[in-house]
Amino acid sequence: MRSRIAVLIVACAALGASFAAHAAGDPAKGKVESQTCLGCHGIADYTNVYPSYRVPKLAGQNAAYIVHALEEYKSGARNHKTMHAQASSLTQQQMEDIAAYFSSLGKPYKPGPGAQP
Amino acid sequence: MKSLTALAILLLGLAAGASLADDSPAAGATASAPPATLAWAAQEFKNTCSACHGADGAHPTPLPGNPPPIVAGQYADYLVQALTEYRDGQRQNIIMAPQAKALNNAQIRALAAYISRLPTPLHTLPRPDFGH
Repeated sequence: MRSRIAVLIVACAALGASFAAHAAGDPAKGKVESQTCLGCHGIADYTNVYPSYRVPKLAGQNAAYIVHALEEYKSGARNHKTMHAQASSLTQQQMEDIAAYFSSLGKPYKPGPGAQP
Repeated sequence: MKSLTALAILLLGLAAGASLADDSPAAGATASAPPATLAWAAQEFKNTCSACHGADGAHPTPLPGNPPPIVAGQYADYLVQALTEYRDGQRQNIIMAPQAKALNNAQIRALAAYISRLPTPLHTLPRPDFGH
């Protein structure tokens, strides 16, 4: 039992450390670095071609997900030619900055049914 | 209880007014049960998606190494694309793949329609004036 608690504590510490790593982005730098992104992500209803679907909304998205998505585009784990080219030009720090910027821009909204308290 | 009632009212309204055809659905929807309605999607979201994406789709659980996005209010056709890629293997994710494999096209469209209608902090920034 005691060892389980110890494992839990270590796991929590590791979790905390990984969050801290993602908290290092600088939104001011990200604002500058994300100008390219807005060429596609800055047009409401802008559509990807072949296949055709709207490029996702990024403002307000959580930072950890944006960093993870960029990492996957860069490595090729996630397949999208344009995003691979864009992400390949970014350092890890720039990804963190861009993520910090977009995640800082969530719009106020009224939580709906099923919302958490 | 109040929130359950509100949900029921919302879903009734959505079911009455919904047009699931507005996001260029992929062909090949099957008629297999259960019917892929918004009410079904709400229940499916609650039973499955909410564990990681949050009860409202806007408060994801921060899973290290595989952080889930805010999905509430995202474009329905992007969500259809993502779920279809997860299901068909173009996009690999240890958590999402098995979830998506359980869905047919109609269910994916219904889920995407439901999720895209949830209140959201997500939006599209205006493109800067690169002006000359």
